[in-house]
Amino acid sequence: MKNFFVKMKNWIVNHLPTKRRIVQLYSALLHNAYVKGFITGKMYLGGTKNLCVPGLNCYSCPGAIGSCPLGSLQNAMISSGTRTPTYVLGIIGLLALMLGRTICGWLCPVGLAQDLLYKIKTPKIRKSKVTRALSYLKYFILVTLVVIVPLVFLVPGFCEYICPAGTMAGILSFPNNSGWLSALGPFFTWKFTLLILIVVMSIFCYRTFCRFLCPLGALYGFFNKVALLGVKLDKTKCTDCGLCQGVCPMDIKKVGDHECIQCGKCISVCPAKAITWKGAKLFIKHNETETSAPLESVNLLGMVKPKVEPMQETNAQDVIETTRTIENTSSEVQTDEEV
Amino acid sequence: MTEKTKNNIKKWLALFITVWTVVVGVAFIVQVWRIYAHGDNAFTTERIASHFRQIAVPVYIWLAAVIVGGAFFCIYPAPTAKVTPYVEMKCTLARLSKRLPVSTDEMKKYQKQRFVACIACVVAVVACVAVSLVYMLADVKLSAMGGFLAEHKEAERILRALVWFVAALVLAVGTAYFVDHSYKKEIAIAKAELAENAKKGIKAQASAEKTTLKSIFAKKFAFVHNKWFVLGVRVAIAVTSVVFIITGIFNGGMKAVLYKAITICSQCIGIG
Repeated sequence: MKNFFVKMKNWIVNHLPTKRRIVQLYSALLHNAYVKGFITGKMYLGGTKNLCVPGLNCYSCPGAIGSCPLGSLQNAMISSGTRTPTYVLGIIGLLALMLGRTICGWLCPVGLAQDLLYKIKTPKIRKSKVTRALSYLKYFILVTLVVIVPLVFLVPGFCEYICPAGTMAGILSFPNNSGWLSALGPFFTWKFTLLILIVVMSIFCYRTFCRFLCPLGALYGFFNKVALLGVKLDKTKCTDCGLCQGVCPMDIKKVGDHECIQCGKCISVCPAKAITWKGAKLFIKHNETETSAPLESVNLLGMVKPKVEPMQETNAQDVIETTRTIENTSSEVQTDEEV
Repeated sequence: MTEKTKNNIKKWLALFITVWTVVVGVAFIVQVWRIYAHGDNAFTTERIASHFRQIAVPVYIWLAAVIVGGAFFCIYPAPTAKVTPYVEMKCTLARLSKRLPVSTDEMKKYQKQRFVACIACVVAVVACVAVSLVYMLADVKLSAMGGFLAEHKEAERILRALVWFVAALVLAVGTAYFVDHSYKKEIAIAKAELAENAKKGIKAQASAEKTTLKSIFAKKFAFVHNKWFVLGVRVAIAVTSVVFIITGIFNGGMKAVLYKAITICSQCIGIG
């Protein structure tokens, strides 16, 4: 019996959610903090809807307390004949400057849903040249459905034809608003089909929607280099071993590029410690991450500080040795794959 | 339970969940199209309930399989996945090239092939994107498609543009595979060359910095990595954003956002 409890304790300790998952959960709750709406089916009508939330969260969702940045942008484009869409662009610019695609990795509720779906135990589709090429589809969607269609045809193209968050909002609203059911037709049928496809694909392929379809991620991606938060690569320390690219589930070409959602997985695997958080000196000691060190205390900024030994001066010879080992392993793996 | 049995159970469980996920997904899609096929006012509470009741059992089986699978993998976790050292061919070649003093003629041939393929691909992709933009923007005559597309011209234009975009994607994927193949060949040559040099007793040495188009661009635009330049860009974006927001508050943009957000968005929820 004692053994069982010890095992249980170990299991719980090993399966505690990561900091990123906790932030994602909090963020999803904050995006949809009007819980009463889910019960009554009525939307929140408060003043906070003046502001756009950072993640993709439909404003028609009964729990939403803020505006969807993408929906607002498209509607601003539609009304750009009478009014310049400065307000929404300003908010998106400010959010992107502060966080970049950290929003996708840490705050977006749609991202969280896909992360959880990917946890279902099935064989997974690995990233490849095809997924990388497909990742450019979201730029096509951004240009056509978010910019051209609203400007030329005065229709919010992305919301109308693709957005799965909107479809989900509709599904959540219908039980309390059965009158709307009579208005459903081809659009809903198409969008429901797409939603199911996205859900099924997200189980097999990491973040299908974010990687291939989300124009908001595409927009934030442009700001990744200048964003105040995110990961950064010290090129002088980098040994080109490719481990960062290997662990990254997204279609990145290099750390921190437009595809990077700043999840921070690469930080713990970098043998040369070349990858750090931007502004890490402010809240993390010695370039250590949550995965590699036990927790010690909470510092002034409220961030958890890892307990670590002071880092030794990096010995260049060690780095070269590590790289060689990785190189050998990599060639072995390649040979295995070829076989 | 032996290790082999556990692994077998895991394998079959994962396979079952995979197949059943696809089955349930297809069942959902089929049901929604069956409801739609009823014609006007197809979506009623009773009809939706009756159609989805038909697939309730497969959905419950799927849920049970997911829970059982999750629990099994928790009790008998899979060994920690080794970090796959996925090294891009380009990276490997760059590392090998650093040890080679000069590129051989054969290596140069592959470099040239890649350069030509990339340029051709870029030209073709730009052309495809241009055609798709023409479909989206210009006043081109579209064939009279009936039904839904006749009522929604933007949908027809998107479809036509998408065809060209898909063509561009196929080209890009094809070129990527060709380039990878070419890298593989060049890596093999570089490795053989290094082995030959080692036999002859020539030590691997760093080659001189090669002047490529990329290196010229990198030198010319090195200032973009300067921290003061980045700071300048950040300040510029921040100032512009704040000015935009203030302008938006005064030109009614904020009110428009609020108005849109507190009225139900029929396009978003699928009413159209």
